Amino acid sequence: MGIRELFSWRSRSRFETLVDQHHKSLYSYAVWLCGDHARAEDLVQEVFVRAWQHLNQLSCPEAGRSWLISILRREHLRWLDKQGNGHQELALDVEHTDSYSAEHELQRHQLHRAILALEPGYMEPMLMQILGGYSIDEISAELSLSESAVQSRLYRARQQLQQQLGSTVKKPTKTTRKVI
Amino acid sequence: MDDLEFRRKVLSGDTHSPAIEQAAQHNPDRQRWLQQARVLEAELNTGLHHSAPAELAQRLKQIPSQRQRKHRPLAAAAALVLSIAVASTLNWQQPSALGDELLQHIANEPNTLYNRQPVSPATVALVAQRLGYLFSSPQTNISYASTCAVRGHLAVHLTVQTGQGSASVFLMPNETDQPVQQFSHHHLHGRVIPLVRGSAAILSTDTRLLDQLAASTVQQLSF
Repeated sequence: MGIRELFSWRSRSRFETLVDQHHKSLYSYAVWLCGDHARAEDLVQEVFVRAWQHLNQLSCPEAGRSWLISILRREHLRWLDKQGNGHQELALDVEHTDSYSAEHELQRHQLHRAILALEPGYMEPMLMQILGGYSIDEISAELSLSESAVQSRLYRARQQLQQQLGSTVKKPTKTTRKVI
Repeated sequence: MDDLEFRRKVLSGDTHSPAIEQAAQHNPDRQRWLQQARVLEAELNTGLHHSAPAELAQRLKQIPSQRQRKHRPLAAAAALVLSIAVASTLNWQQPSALGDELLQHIANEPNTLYNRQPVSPATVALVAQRLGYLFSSPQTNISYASTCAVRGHLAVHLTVQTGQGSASVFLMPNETDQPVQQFSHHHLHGRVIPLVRGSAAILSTDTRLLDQLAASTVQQLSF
Protein backbone atom coordinates (compact mmCIF):
# COMPACT_ATOMS: atom_id res chain seq x y z
CA MET A 1 0.00 0.00 0.00
CA GLY A 2 1.55 3.35 -1.08
CA ILE A 3 1.54 6.53 0.97
CA ARG A 4 -1.30 8.01 -1.08
CA GLU A 5 -3.45 4.88 -0.65
CA LEU A 6 -2.61 4.71 3.03
CA PHE A 7 -3.61 8.37 3.50
CA SER A 8 -6.79 7.85 1.52
CA TRP A 9 -7.66 4.72 3.46
CA ARG A 10 -7.11 6.51 6.77
CA SER A 11 -9.34 9.40 5.67
CA ARG A 12 -12.04 7.02 4.50
CA SER A 13 -11.83 5.09 7.67
CA ARG A 14 -12.20 8.29 9.72
CA PHE A 15 -15.10 9.36 7.54
CA GLU A 16 -16.88 6.03 7.91
CA THR A 17 -16.43 6.20 11.66
CA LEU A 18 -18.03 9.65 11.60
CA VAL A 19 -20.96 8.27 9.61
CA ASP A 20 -21.43 5.31 11.95
CA GLN A 21 -21.20 7.39 15.10
CA HIS A 22 -23.26 10.39 14.15
CA HIS A 23 -25.59 9.86 11.22
CA LYS A 24 -28.56 8.89 13.39
CA SER A 25 -28.31 11.90 15.70
CA LEU A 26 -27.69 14.14 12.75
CA TYR A 27 -30.73 12.78 10.93
CA SER A 28 -32.91 13.34 14.01
CA TYR A 29 -31.58 16.87 14.36
CA ALA A 30 -32.26 17.51 10.67
CA VAL A 31 -35.84 16.22 10.94
CA TRP A 32 -36.54 18.62 13.78
CA LEU A 33 -34.89 21.45 11.92
CA CYS A 34 -36.64 20.86 8.58
CA GLY A 35 -39.90 19.33 9.74
CA ASP A 36 -39.67 16.95 6.81
CA HIS A 37 -38.08 13.50 6.60
CA ALA A 38 -37.20 13.67 2.91
CA ARG A 39 -35.56 17.08 3.20
CA ALA A 40 -33.73 15.88 6.32
CA GLU A 41 -32.26 12.99 4.36
CA ASP A 42 -31.04 15.35 1.65
CA LEU A 43 -29.63 17.68 4.25
CA VAL A 44 -27.67 14.92 5.99
CA GLN A 45 -26.21 13.86 2.65
CA GLU A 46 -25.18 17.45 1.92
CA VAL A 47 -23.57 17.66 5.35
CA PHE A 48 -21.48 14.54 4.81
CA VAL A 49 -20.44 15.69 1.33
CA ARG A 50 -19.11 18.88 2.96
CA ALA A 51 -17.60 16.89 5.81
CA TRP A 52 -15.66 14.72 3.39
CA GLN A 53 -14.43 17.78 1.49
CA HIS A 54 -13.15 19.40 4.69
CA LEU A 55 -12.27 16.37 6.78
CA ASN A 56 -8.80 17.76 7.49
CA GLN A 57 -10.45 20.59 9.48
CA LEU A 58 -11.59 18.08 12.09
CA SER A 59 -8.51 17.72 14.24
CA CYS A 60 -10.19 16.23 17.29
CA PRO A 61 -12.50 13.22 16.76
CA GLU A 62 -14.40 14.00 19.97
CA ALA A 63 -15.62 17.22 18.35
CA GLY A 64 -17.07 15.29 15.41
CA ARG A 65 -20.70 15.61 16.32
CA SER A 66 -20.66 19.32 17.08
CA TRP A 67 -18.63 19.94 13.91
CA LEU A 68 -21.22 18.08 11.84
CA ILE A 69 -24.10 19.88 13.54
CA SER A 70 -22.45 23.24 12.77
CA ILE A 71 -22.28 22.22 9.11
CA LEU A 72 -25.87 21.04 9.23
CA ARG A 73 -27.12 24.31 10.68
CA ARG A 74 -25.17 26.31 8.10
CA GLU A 75 -26.44 24.19 5.21
CA HIS A 76 -29.99 24.44 6.50
CA LEU A 77 -29.78 28.23 6.75
CA ARG A 78 -28.36 28.36 3.23
CA TRP A 79 -31.28 26.29 2.01
CA LEU A 80 -33.76 28.55 3.80
CA ASP A 81 -32.11 31.56 2.17
CA LYS A 82 -32.51 29.94 -1.21
CA GLN A 83 -36.15 29.24 -0.47
CA GLY A 84 -36.50 32.84 0.59
CA ASN A 85 -38.84 32.07 3.44
CA GLY A 86 -36.52 32.38 6.43
CA HIS A 87 -38.67 30.10 8.54
CA GLN A 88 -40.76 27.01 8.24
CA GLU A 89 -43.94 25.76 9.78
CA LEU A 90 -43.08 22.47 11.35
CA ALA A 91 -45.62 19.71 10.98
CA LEU A 92 -44.03 16.36 11.51
CA ASP A 93 -45.95 13.23 10.83
CA VAL A 94 -45.88 10.73 13.64
CA GLU A 95 -43.77 7.73 12.73
CA HIS A 96 -45.87 4.62 12.77
CA THR A 97 -43.12 2.31 11.61
CA ASP A 98 -41.42 1.84 14.95
CA SER A 99 -42.39 -1.29 16.79
CA TYR A 100 -43.52 0.44 19.95
CA SER A 101 -46.73 -0.23 21.78
CA ALA A 102 -49.72 1.97 21.03
CA GLU A 103 -49.37 3.65 24.41
CA HIS A 104 -45.72 4.40 23.82
CA GLU A 105 -46.57 5.76 20.38
CA LEU A 106 -49.21 8.01 21.87
CA GLN A 107 -46.75 9.37 24.43
CA ARG A 108 -44.23 9.95 21.69
CA HIS A 109 -46.83 11.75 19.62
CA GLN A 110 -47.77 13.96 22.57
CA LEU A 111 -44.12 14.76 23.21
CA HIS A 112 -43.59 15.65 19.54
CA ARG A 113 -46.58 17.95 19.59
CA ALA A 114 -45.37 19.58 22.76
CA ILE A 115 -41.89 20.13 21.31
CA LEU A 116 -43.33 21.61 18.12
CA ALA A 117 -45.46 23.96 20.22
CA LEU A 118 -42.43 25.39 22.06
CA GLU A 119 -41.82 29.08 21.69
CA PRO A 120 -39.49 30.03 18.84
CA GLY A 121 -35.85 29.80 19.88
CA TYR A 122 -36.46 27.26 22.63
CA MET A 123 -36.24 24.07 20.66
CA GLU A 124 -32.80 24.34 19.14
CA PRO A 125 -30.75 24.76 22.33
CA MET A 126 -32.47 21.62 23.60
CA LEU A 127 -31.71 19.73 20.40
CA MET A 128 -28.09 20.81 20.65
CA GLN A 129 -27.89 19.71 24.24
CA ILE A 130 -29.64 16.35 23.90
CA LEU A 131 -28.90 15.25 20.34
CA GLY A 132 -25.61 17.08 19.93
CA GLY A 133 -24.20 16.62 23.43
CA TYR A 134 -23.30 20.32 23.63
CA SER A 135 -22.59 21.96 26.98
CA ILE A 136 -24.27 25.26 27.84
CA ASP A 137 -21.16 27.27 26.98
CA GLU A 138 -20.82 25.47 23.63
CA ILE A 139 -24.47 26.24 22.79
CA SER A 140 -23.84 29.82 23.83
CA ALA A 141 -20.91 30.07 21.40
CA GLU A 142 -22.75 28.37 18.54
CA LEU A 143 -25.92 30.45 18.87
CA SER A 144 -24.19 33.69 19.86
CA LEU A 145 -26.19 33.94 23.07
CA SER A 146 -25.04 34.54 26.61
CA GLU A 147 -24.76 31.47 28.82
CA SER A 148 -27.53 32.73 31.08
CA ALA A 149 -29.80 33.19 28.05
CA VAL A 150 -29.09 29.62 26.96
CA GLN A 151 -29.74 28.29 30.45
CA SER A 152 -32.93 30.27 30.59
CA ARG A 153 -34.14 28.89 27.25
CA LEU A 154 -33.31 25.33 28.27
CA TYR A 155 -35.12 25.82 31.55
CA ARG A 156 -38.20 27.39 29.98
CA ALA A 157 -38.36 24.83 27.21
CA ARG A 158 -38.52 21.98 29.71
CA GLN A 159 -40.90 23.90 31.92
CA GLN A 160 -43.25 24.37 28.96
CA LEU A 161 -42.92 20.71 28.05
CA GLN A 162 -43.76 19.64 31.58
CA GLN A 163 -46.81 21.88 31.59
CA GLN A 164 -47.90 20.74 28.16
CA LEU A 165 -47.46 17.08 28.86
CA GLY A 166 -49.17 17.50 32.22
CA SER A 167 -52.11 19.27 30.61
CA THR A 168 -52.24 16.68 27.82
CA VAL A 169 -52.66 13.92 30.34
CA LYS A 170 -55.47 15.75 32.09
CA LYS A 171 -57.15 17.10 28.97
CA PRO A 172 -56.07 15.06 25.96
CA THR A 173 -57.87 17.21 23.39
CA LYS A 174 -56.41 20.51 24.51
CA THR A 175 -53.25 21.42 22.60
CA THR A 176 -52.86 25.11 23.22
CA ARG A 177 -49.64 26.28 24.75
CA LYS A 178 -49.28 27.81 28.17
CA VAL A 179 -46.84 30.67 28.09
CA ILE A 180 -44.97 31.40 31.26
CA MET B 1 -28.69 26.33 46.66
CA ASP B 2 -32.22 27.70 47.02
CA ASP B 3 -35.28 26.08 45.46
CA LEU B 4 -35.36 28.39 42.46
CA GLU B 5 -31.73 27.78 41.58
CA PHE B 6 -32.20 24.07 42.12
CA ARG B 7 -35.11 23.99 39.68
CA ARG B 8 -33.33 26.15 37.16
CA LYS B 9 -30.31 23.85 37.16
CA VAL B 10 -32.37 20.69 36.93
CA LEU B 11 -34.59 22.00 34.15
CA SER B 12 -31.52 23.15 32.24
CA GLY B 13 -30.59 19.49 31.90
CA ASP B 14 -28.44 18.94 34.97
CA THR B 15 -30.28 16.01 36.55
CA HIS B 16 -27.40 13.84 37.73
CA SER B 17 -24.50 16.01 38.95
CA PRO B 18 -23.20 15.49 42.52
CA ALA B 19 -24.25 19.05 43.42
CA ILE B 20 -27.84 18.33 42.41
CA GLU B 21 -27.86 14.95 44.17
CA GLN B 22 -26.58 16.61 47.30
CA ALA B 23 -29.08 19.46 47.13
CA ALA B 24 -31.96 16.98 46.91
CA GLN B 25 -30.62 14.54 49.48
CA HIS B 26 -32.64 15.53 52.56
CA ASN B 27 -35.52 17.26 50.87
CA PRO B 28 -38.45 15.04 49.81
CA ASP B 29 -40.02 17.81 47.70
CA ARG B 30 -36.84 18.29 45.72
CA GLN B 31 -36.41 14.54 45.36
CA ARG B 32 -39.91 14.17 43.96
CA TRP B 33 -39.34 17.10 41.68
CA LEU B 34 -35.97 15.76 40.54
CA GLN B 35 -37.58 12.41 39.79
CA GLN B 36 -40.19 14.10 37.55
CA ALA B 37 -37.43 15.98 35.74
CA ARG B 38 -35.51 12.74 35.17
CA VAL B 39 -38.59 11.13 33.68
CA LEU B 40 -38.96 14.07 31.31
CA GLU B 41 -35.25 13.86 30.44
CA ALA B 42 -35.56 10.16 29.64
CA GLU B 43 -38.61 10.85 27.46
CA LEU B 44 -36.72 13.59 25.63
CA ASN B 45 -33.71 11.36 25.10
CA THR B 46 -35.83 8.78 23.32
CA GLY B 47 -38.53 11.06 21.91
CA LEU B 48 -36.19 13.43 20.10
CA HIS B 49 -34.72 10.63 18.01
CA HIS B 50 -36.19 9.80 14.64
CA SER B 51 -35.38 6.52 12.95
CA ALA B 52 -32.93 7.10 10.14
CA PRO B 53 -33.64 5.33 6.82
CA ALA B 54 -32.01 1.90 6.76
CA GLU B 55 -29.75 2.57 3.78
CA LEU B 56 -28.70 6.09 4.74
CA ALA B 57 -25.41 5.10 6.41
CA GLN B 58 -24.44 2.94 3.44
CA ARG B 59 -25.18 5.76 1.02
CA LEU B 60 -23.19 8.24 3.09
CA LYS B 61 -20.19 5.92 3.15
CA GLN B 62 -20.09 5.96 -0.63
CA ILE B 63 -19.50 9.72 -0.73
CA PRO B 64 -15.67 9.41 -0.65
CA SER B 65 -15.54 7.05 -3.62
CA GLN B 66 -17.82 9.42 -5.52
CA ARG B 67 -15.71 12.44 -4.59
CA GLN B 68 -12.24 10.99 -4.91
CA ARG B 69 -12.55 10.69 -8.64
CA LYS B 70 -12.51 14.47 -8.81
CA HIS B 71 -9.11 14.58 -7.16
CA ARG B 72 -7.14 12.20 -9.29
CA PRO B 73 -3.73 13.38 -10.35
CA LEU B 74 -3.55 15.65 -13.36
CA ALA B 75 -1.85 12.99 -15.40
CA ALA B 76 -4.78 10.66 -14.94
CA ALA B 77 -7.21 13.44 -15.85
CA ALA B 78 -5.22 14.22 -18.96
CA ALA B 79 -5.19 10.55 -19.89
CA LEU B 80 -8.94 10.41 -19.40
CA VAL B 81 -9.53 13.47 -21.56
CA LEU B 82 -7.30 11.97 -24.23
CA SER B 83 -9.13 8.67 -24.10
CA ILE B 84 -12.47 10.46 -24.42
CA ALA B 85 -11.18 12.42 -27.39
CA VAL B 86 -10.01 9.23 -29.07
CA ALA B 87 -13.15 7.38 -28.21
CA SER B 88 -15.39 10.17 -29.46
CA THR B 89 -14.68 8.94 -32.98
CA LEU B 90 -16.14 5.56 -32.04
CA ASN B 91 -19.76 4.67 -31.64
CA TRP B 92 -19.41 3.60 -27.99
CA GLN B 93 -16.97 5.61 -25.93
CA GLN B 94 -14.95 4.51 -22.94
CA PRO B 95 -16.53 5.79 -19.74
CA SER B 96 -16.35 9.58 -19.43
CA ALA B 97 -15.65 11.14 -16.02
CA LEU B 98 -19.37 11.41 -15.41
CA GLY B 99 -20.07 8.06 -17.05
CA ASP B 100 -17.35 6.46 -14.99
CA GLU B 101 -18.86 7.94 -11.86
CA LEU B 102 -22.33 6.64 -12.74
CA LEU B 103 -21.05 3.15 -13.54
CA GLN B 104 -19.25 3.12 -10.21
CA HIS B 105 -22.39 4.37 -8.50
CA ILE B 106 -24.45 1.47 -9.87
CA ALA B 107 -21.70 -0.97 -8.88
CA ASN B 108 -21.82 0.42 -5.33
CA GLU B 109 -25.59 0.22 -5.07
CA PRO B 110 -26.60 -3.14 -6.52
CA ASN B 111 -29.59 -3.15 -4.17
CA THR B 112 -31.23 -0.51 -6.35
CA LEU B 113 -31.57 -3.12 -9.10
CA TYR B 114 -32.81 -6.06 -7.00
CA ASN B 115 -36.09 -4.65 -5.84
CA ARG B 116 -38.95 -5.29 -8.27
CA GLN B 117 -41.73 -3.91 -6.10
CA PRO B 118 -43.07 -0.67 -7.55
CA VAL B 119 -42.58 2.56 -5.65
CA SER B 120 -45.75 4.64 -5.48
CA PRO B 121 -46.01 7.38 -8.14
CA ALA B 122 -46.53 9.93 -5.34
CA THR B 123 -43.19 8.97 -3.77
CA VAL B 124 -41.44 9.18 -7.14
CA ALA B 125 -42.95 12.60 -7.74
CA LEU B 126 -41.86 13.79 -4.28
CA VAL B 127 -38.29 12.57 -4.73
CA ALA B 128 -38.02 14.27 -8.13
CA GLN B 129 -39.63 17.42 -6.81
CA ARG B 130 -37.03 17.66 -4.06
CA LEU B 131 -34.48 18.55 -6.72
CA GLY B 132 -36.86 20.63 -8.81
CA TYR B 133 -38.03 18.06 -11.38
CA LEU B 134 -41.69 17.47 -12.22
CA PHE B 135 -43.15 14.57 -14.18
CA SER B 136 -46.08 15.37 -16.43
CA SER B 137 -47.68 11.97 -15.72
CA PRO B 138 -47.54 9.53 -12.77
CA GLN B 139 -44.56 7.18 -12.94
CA THR B 140 -45.93 3.70 -12.29
CA ASN B 141 -42.97 1.56 -13.33
CA ILE B 142 -40.34 2.72 -10.86
CA SER B 143 -38.90 0.20 -8.40
CA TYR B 144 -36.37 2.50 -6.69
CA ALA B 145 -36.49 6.25 -6.10
CA SER B 146 -34.12 8.19 -3.93
CA THR B 147 -31.72 11.08 -3.91
CA CYS B 148 -28.02 10.34 -3.74
CA ALA B 149 -24.71 12.11 -4.26
CA VAL B 150 -23.19 12.07 -7.74
CA ARG B 151 -19.89 13.92 -7.99
CA GLY B 152 -20.61 15.68 -4.73
CA HIS B 153 -24.06 16.96 -5.65
CA LEU B 154 -27.48 15.54 -5.03
CA ALA B 155 -29.16 13.73 -7.89
CA VAL B 156 -32.43 11.85 -8.31
CA HIS B 157 -31.78 8.13 -8.77
CA LEU B 158 -34.59 6.00 -10.23
CA THR B 159 -34.76 2.37 -11.33
CA VAL B 160 -37.26 1.91 -14.14
CA GLN B 161 -38.82 -1.50 -14.86
CA THR B 162 -39.92 -2.20 -18.43
CA GLY B 163 -40.94 -5.26 -20.38
CA GLN B 164 -37.43 -5.40 -21.79
CA GLY B 165 -35.65 -5.17 -18.45
CA SER B 166 -34.60 -2.54 -15.98
CA ALA B 167 -32.69 0.70 -16.36
CA SER B 168 -31.25 3.25 -13.97
CA VAL B 169 -32.12 6.88 -14.56
CA PHE B 170 -30.31 9.79 -12.91
CA LEU B 171 -31.56 13.38 -12.93
CA MET B 172 -28.64 15.63 -12.05
CA PRO B 173 -29.49 19.33 -11.63
CA ASN B 174 -25.84 20.29 -11.08
CA GLU B 175 -24.46 18.59 -14.18
CA THR B 176 -24.95 21.52 -16.50
CA ASP B 177 -23.34 21.91 -19.92
CA GLN B 178 -22.86 18.19 -20.39
CA PRO B 179 -22.86 17.18 -24.05
CA VAL B 180 -24.66 14.06 -25.21
CA GLN B 181 -22.30 11.24 -24.43
CA GLN B 182 -22.38 7.48 -24.46
CA PHE B 183 -20.30 5.06 -22.49
CA SER B 184 -20.17 1.40 -21.70
CA HIS B 185 -18.39 -1.00 -19.44
CA HIS B 186 -18.70 -4.74 -19.94
CA HIS B 187 -22.43 -5.28 -20.54
CA LEU B 188 -23.64 -2.03 -19.05
CA HIS B 189 -24.28 0.87 -21.41
CA GLY B 190 -25.06 4.46 -20.55
CA ARG B 191 -26.00 7.75 -22.09
CA VAL B 192 -25.93 11.29 -20.75
CA ILE B 193 -28.37 13.79 -22.21
CA PRO B 194 -28.57 17.51 -21.43
CA LEU B 195 -31.82 18.81 -19.95
CA VAL B 196 -33.17 22.33 -19.60
CA ARG B 197 -31.99 22.02 -16.01
CA GLY B 198 -28.87 19.89 -15.56
CA SER B 199 -28.55 16.54 -17.24
CA ALA B 200 -30.09 13.09 -17.21
CA ALA B 201 -28.31 9.77 -17.53
CA ILE B 202 -29.75 6.39 -18.44
CA LEU B 203 -27.89 3.15 -17.80
CA SER B 204 -29.00 -0.30 -18.87
CA THR B 205 -27.70 -3.55 -20.26
CA ASP B 206 -30.13 -3.15 -23.18
CA THR B 207 -29.12 -0.37 -25.58
CA ARG B 208 -32.67 -0.15 -26.98
CA LEU B 209 -33.84 0.97 -23.57
CA LEU B 210 -31.45 3.91 -23.72
CA ASP B 211 -33.16 5.31 -26.82
CA GLN B 212 -36.61 4.64 -25.43
CA LEU B 213 -35.99 6.10 -21.96
CA ALA B 214 -33.95 9.06 -23.20
CA ALA B 215 -36.92 10.12 -25.33
CA SER B 216 -39.55 9.51 -22.66
CA THR B 217 -37.51 11.20 -19.91
CA VAL B 218 -37.14 14.39 -21.93
CA GLN B 219 -40.83 14.27 -22.90
CA GLN B 220 -42.18 13.70 -19.42
CA LEU B 221 -40.07 16.13 -17.43
CA SER B 222 -40.93 19.72 -16.82
CA PHE B 223 -39.00 22.25 -14.77
